[in-house]
Amino acid sequence: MSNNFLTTVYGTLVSPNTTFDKIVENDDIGVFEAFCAILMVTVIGSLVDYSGSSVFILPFYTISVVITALIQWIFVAAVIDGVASIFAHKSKFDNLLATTGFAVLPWMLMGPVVLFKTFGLSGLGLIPFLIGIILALIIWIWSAILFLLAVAKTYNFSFGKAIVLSIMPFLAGLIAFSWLLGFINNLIVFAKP
Amino acid sequence: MKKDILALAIIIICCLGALIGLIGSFREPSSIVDNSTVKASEKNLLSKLTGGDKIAVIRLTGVISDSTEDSDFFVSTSPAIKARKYLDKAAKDKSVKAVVFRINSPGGTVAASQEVYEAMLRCRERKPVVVSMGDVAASGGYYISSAADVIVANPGTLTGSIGVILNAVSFIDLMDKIGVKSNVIKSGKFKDIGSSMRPMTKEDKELLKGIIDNTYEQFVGDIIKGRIDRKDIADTKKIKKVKKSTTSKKDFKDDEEEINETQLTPEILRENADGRIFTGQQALKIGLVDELGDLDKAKIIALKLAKKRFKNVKDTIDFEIYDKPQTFAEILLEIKSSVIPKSSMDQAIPFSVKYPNQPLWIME
Repeated sequence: MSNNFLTTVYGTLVSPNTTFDKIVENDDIGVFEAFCAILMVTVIGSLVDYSGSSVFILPFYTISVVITALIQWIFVAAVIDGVASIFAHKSKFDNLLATTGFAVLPWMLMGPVVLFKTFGLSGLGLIPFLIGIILALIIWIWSAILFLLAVAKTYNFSFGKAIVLSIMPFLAGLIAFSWLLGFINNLIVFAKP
Repeated sequence: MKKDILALAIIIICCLGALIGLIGSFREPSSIVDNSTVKASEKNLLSKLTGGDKIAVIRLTGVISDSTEDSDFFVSTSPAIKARKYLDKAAKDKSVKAVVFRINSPGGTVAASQEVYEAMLRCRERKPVVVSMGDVAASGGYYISSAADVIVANPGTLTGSIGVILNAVSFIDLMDKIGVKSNVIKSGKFKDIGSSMRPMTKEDKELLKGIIDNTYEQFVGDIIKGRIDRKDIADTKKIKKVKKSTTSKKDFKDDEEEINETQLTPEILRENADGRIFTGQQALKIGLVDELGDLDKAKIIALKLAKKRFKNVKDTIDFEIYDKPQTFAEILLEIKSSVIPKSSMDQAIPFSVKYPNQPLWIME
């Protein structure tokens, strides 16, 4: 597993096209490896994002971040697979979880990039600070492209179709949010005189 | 194999970077931009971008209570709970160099007021706290203010009302008229003390008076603790030599104001702690407040105190509204409270009637 995992990590960052093809075709690299990738990225992400004043709260914060990321990963994959299976006439939920799990790997590079903000590099002036922001932006774009590639490779779709599919979870989220707002509004109307 | 080693190296570098970054994030924000080779304009911009030093402005508006009426969807909207929470947060936040506490309250329940008072004392131990009084800061509102380093009131602010009130409504005559009787079975003679269904006995009155007197002593005792028995009183008096400023915090003029040297003493306090109310101007004369002025003046005093207490506090420091809604639920409730106003009938009922048989620190 470890060899496959490390090779896939390297491949996702260097040659994602062929790596995602291998993930889809090869059953050796599956959901568990993708789960490990997500776990690694979210733990690093929680260290990067943590803004509390006490170290003792950090483990609880990390656990909450990991759980949120896992729910988000499964929800997004489920919505995309639900819609994609209409066009592809076949569910590839496992494959999608595997590819999208590895697609978030560029985010782990925020570990060193965040040093531009937190560890004195910003003390060198505005330019290193701006470099940090630009690098963060590049990581975001890189990860977004990998995500679209993961969707396209899993279902053998075009990039354009993958973009439309990837928007679906956000639309689903918006609809769910508007339902929630309506529900809250009804509760307020009935609860208050 | 080579690919695996490279992947492992990348992962290790990323983990180390995050860990070092985490250690860096625990440093004082000011030290991040504390480099003499960087231009002042760049430092200012960096300070803003990295969340630099600030003076927190915390607001307490309305009746001080811990009531469940002030909760929606598991989130408390009680002004007292929010004020306490943000005072504690500001006390721990290293980037907050001083607190301006804007209060506009006629008072409220005893325990809720005491909790905010204690939170302010905790905050004052770590950083300066300046109270700015709005329209009203009376009774429990004044009690909380007394925990601050400096109290700034507007000349027309209504303050004082130091005292305790308990209201026991009686429905006996009304019940007689409509032919309703109440049958009470109780374990002790005082179990239904203050009941609106029976007349108050002499013993009831004596017991309730004891509670009122005890709460009153707590009230006065805490004002003495907060404003009179203070070790740093001399320092605060010095700071009160505040320079006048224009609306801009950067533009200080040199002319000094007349300093109020009236010192509140326990004797003056007890003499005036009979429930009477004062304007800000009257309160200044007996030393209940330290300065006359608006919120801007309170901010300038807070800046002065912060500069005295901490190193590297700049005149260009940001004043941040610290009690802005932060979580999703808080934002929703903020929208809700602005869209759906509270019932006007609810506001017309005196607070002591809403909280019967309970000692209150409120201006009725």
